Amino acid sequence: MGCKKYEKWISDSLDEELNARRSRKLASHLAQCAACRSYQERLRLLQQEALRLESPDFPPRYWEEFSRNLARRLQAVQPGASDLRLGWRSRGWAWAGAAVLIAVALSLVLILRKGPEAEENDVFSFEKCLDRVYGEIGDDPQLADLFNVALVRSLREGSGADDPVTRPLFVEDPFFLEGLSEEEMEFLNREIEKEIKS
Amino acid sequence: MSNRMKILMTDVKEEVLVEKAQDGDLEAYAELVKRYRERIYRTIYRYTRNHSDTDDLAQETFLQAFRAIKRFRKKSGFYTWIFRIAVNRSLNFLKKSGREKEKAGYEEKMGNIAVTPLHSPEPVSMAKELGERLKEAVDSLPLAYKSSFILVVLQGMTHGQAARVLRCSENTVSWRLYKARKILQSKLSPYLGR
Repeated sequence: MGCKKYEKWISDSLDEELNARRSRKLASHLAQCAACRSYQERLRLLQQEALRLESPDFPPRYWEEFSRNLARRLQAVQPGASDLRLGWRSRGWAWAGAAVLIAVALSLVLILRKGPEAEENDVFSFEKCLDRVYGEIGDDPQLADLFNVALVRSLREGSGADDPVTRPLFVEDPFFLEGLSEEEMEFLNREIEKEIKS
Repeated sequence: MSNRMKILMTDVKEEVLVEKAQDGDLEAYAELVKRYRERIYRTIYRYTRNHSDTDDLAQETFLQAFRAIKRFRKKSGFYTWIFRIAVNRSLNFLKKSGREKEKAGYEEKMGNIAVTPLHSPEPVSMAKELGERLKEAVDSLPLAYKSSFILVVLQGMTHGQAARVLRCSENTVSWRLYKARKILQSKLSPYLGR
């Protein structure tokens, strides 16, 4: 179980993304853990093999032809005449849909919480706590942003993590929780439990 | 265009080319295409594994980018922006062509090979087979993991660059890579030794 953290660090180190403090910790762990050393070796081999994977290579003639074909098609296109529907008008539908979904999900949560079993099983649930936050945020992107910033700041302070965290999008990113380190998750759990007790 | 003009175009900074392209300058856009076409092609190929589809998708990527270029606000580099279009196009293509369903069946096949290597255990053939199996195993990764693996391991991007292309946090990229590697090493364990 303790090695999971080091396996993650081994992965980061292969991408040269592990900071100096963690690199030192990893090195001292590897010196005494044969399983992790073997894991690191296997990942290294995997990495080497991946870099050898076939990469298409074409003669310059191919690329000239590619550009010629593209130029022919570009003649008929005006910049800005986009078929990308990224404007606010079309986004509006997405936001409206999201708002309806959130409303339905909230109603379901409220209905389920009223059932007799809900009280019996009312143990600490991380997801339930987040539901409340989601409910508050609704479809307000500014509020979501503020929450992200506050959450990341408190995570950094609490865990003492020195890794730069690039503004995770809490609401939009389904992997947000997955992306937190063990220390950050522990800190988050502790704080929520404290909040519930008080 | 004269040779002298061509030489000058290659010296022009990317930001200037983008501005010209935003004003409809096709020559400026052609220079941008020239700078990125091979990298874009390779990235798309790693999703499709097929030259004909890759060629179409790469052309579509550059066409779509040109149509949308006026809305490019330079919050990220042009490179990141066009990569995002290419990755999204590739992912949509895979979803539409239903390849993910085929991959699901393939998952089982991969599970089996993890127990019995197909051929002789001679080092050369094992290494060759590892390459083949690795290609197949990367193809069968869940799309989110596969995208991070392609951009960071195969394209050589940093976690930060990949995060900007995939619009997620660096931490997410890092976790996806950890999980992708975990899956790959478990599927390919007979070829990787103990």
